[in-house]
Amino acid sequence: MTVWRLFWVVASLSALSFGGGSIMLAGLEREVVGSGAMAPAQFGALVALGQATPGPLAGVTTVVAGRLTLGAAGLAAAYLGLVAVGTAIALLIGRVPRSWMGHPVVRGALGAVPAFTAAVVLYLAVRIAAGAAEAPLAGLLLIGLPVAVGRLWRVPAPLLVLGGVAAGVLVHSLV
Amino acid sequence: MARLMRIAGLGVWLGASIFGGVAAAHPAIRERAGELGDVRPEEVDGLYALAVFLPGLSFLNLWGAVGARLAGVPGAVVAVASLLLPAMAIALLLPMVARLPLASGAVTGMLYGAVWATVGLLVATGIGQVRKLKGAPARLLCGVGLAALLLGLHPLLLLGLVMGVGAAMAWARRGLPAEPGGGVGSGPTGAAVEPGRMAPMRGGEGR
Repeated sequence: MTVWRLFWVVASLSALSFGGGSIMLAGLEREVVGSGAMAPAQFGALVALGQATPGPLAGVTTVVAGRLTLGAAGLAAAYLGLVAVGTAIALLIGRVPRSWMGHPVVRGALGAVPAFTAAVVLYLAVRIAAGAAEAPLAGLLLIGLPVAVGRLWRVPAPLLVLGGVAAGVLVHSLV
Repeated sequence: MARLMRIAGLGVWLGASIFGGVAAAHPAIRERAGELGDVRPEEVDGLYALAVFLPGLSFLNLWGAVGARLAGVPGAVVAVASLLLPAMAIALLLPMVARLPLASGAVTGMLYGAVWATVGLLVATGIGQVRKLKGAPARLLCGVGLAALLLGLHPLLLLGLVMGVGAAMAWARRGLPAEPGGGVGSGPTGAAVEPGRMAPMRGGEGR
């Protein structure tokens, strides 16, 4: 795989992945694992890393995959591919006239979006929890719930994640 | 220039502190975009719906669109580039990822802890969002939506249905005085809105 090929793969996958980052990762896996640039287990570890780190879900996985595939040039190619397409789509969205969003019916539709967001956030929590096959009860009770309570008490998220990671090492060694 | 710097700063903060993707980022962006300029929370809701419907990383789409609203093309470029900078930092700081000893207990334990911490953060964000919903219909819609997702409904389809319900309720309510509690179909403040205008915000809402 060449740098230009990687840039093209990331940009085209990003431009065509209706449904978000997970759809894009499926295409990326086929490219980098299918071409032999990365082992399946290695890509799986990157997906886990992406889930466990902040920011866009597929962002970390994509740029780290670029780095592992082609070094610094691959890192730059993956980053620029994401930035180029992300900027183009963002500009498209940003050009939607404000007056459209001010129409009462549109505003009614948009007023329902926070209900959707809340449902999706809770659904994501359930999905991620269900995917953690190893010692789920211990993880939920000893890490998940304390972090949730801490966050509701406005403890900064990075601090909670650091605490969760430390607790994870401890809990994992015990169970 | 100062606005671009602030967009970049907030972009790096979002990229470094939001776990759970665009769904978790939406409330944070909704709360903080107004600090940078004339982007109201209900406008962020509209950009969010478009960001999820269109292809690409929805988080990038949303924050880039807010950047575009605030500062045009430079704003979009700076917003997208800054949001991915923490990911770049992770890629640079983890050159040994290729040789991750996944069998090692410490690394597996760290990933285990991070995943459960992410679950906790998402639960807290979800509860916070539900608390902010105005009126019983919005909370009912959220509960039904969660059940539908758990039963396998595609999120994009659900978004379309939820927005359709909101639009239908707003359509049915045309000409009626706004409910004091607002809620689904009345817009974020529940205030009466003239066609083509944004509703006035309550002081401090979303901050």
